[in-house]
Amino acid sequence: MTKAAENPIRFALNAMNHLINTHGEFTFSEEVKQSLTVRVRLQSHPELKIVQSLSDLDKDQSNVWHHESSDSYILFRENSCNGHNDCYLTHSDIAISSTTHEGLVVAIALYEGIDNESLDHLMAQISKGDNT
Amino acid sequence: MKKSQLEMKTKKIARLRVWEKFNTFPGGKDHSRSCIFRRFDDPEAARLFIAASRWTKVVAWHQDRDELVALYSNGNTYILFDRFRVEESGDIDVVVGVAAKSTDQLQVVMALLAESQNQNAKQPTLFGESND
Repeated sequence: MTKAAENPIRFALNAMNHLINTHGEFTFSEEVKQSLTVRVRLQSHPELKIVQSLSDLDKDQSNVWHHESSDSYILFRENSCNGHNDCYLTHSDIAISSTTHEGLVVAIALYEGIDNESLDHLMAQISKGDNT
Repeated sequence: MKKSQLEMKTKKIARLRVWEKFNTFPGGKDHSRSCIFRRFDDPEAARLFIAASRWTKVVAWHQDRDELVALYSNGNTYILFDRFRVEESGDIDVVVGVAAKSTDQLQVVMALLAESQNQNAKQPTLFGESND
């Protein structure tokens, strides 16, 4: 039986993780508390292009965006407990992968919603080598 | 790294990936390789000192909240900073590893790291007490 015949939800999630984990040597991960805010921010950002998407039977969502100018991929995964173990929260996490450290810093700034002016300032700092 | 591992969540394997890169430091032409691990009183000062050096560049990075594993290289050496949360106690611990092609190069880096610890040394006052 081929790998493609496995549980399609698991297959899609594995493919997303594989993309993030093989894209670059610079990564960032974090549990996200403001799930809706982050999703709206990522979905509405003009420079982010969605490249992989999964919505399962529980309406849980996993999306991967590509940010071309920083060559970064952003995976945002949302899982609702729907009452399992008396939990009704949505647990979300984000993983960002980039081919350069500077690109990673820019992608984190996008995810955190840093405004364009501050982002330009950050980019200027990076180009001067101030970022560590 | 196995494909099945690369399909895991970034949070679970990113630290392993950076360590694997450190472990595969190529060494010298004659396969010479020296390696050392240390804890420092002020590991963040050591990391910033290395990061600010014009001779080094960051080659791999993973950050998750207050945990960070960063790998720097100056061509002849790999310098790894691993700041992680100890599962049992919840405390933050930092281990610094250096891999070099020779013991001489290793000692040069260790001397640089030791120098970084002197930067924040408490200055004695006229009364022989620390400033703070």
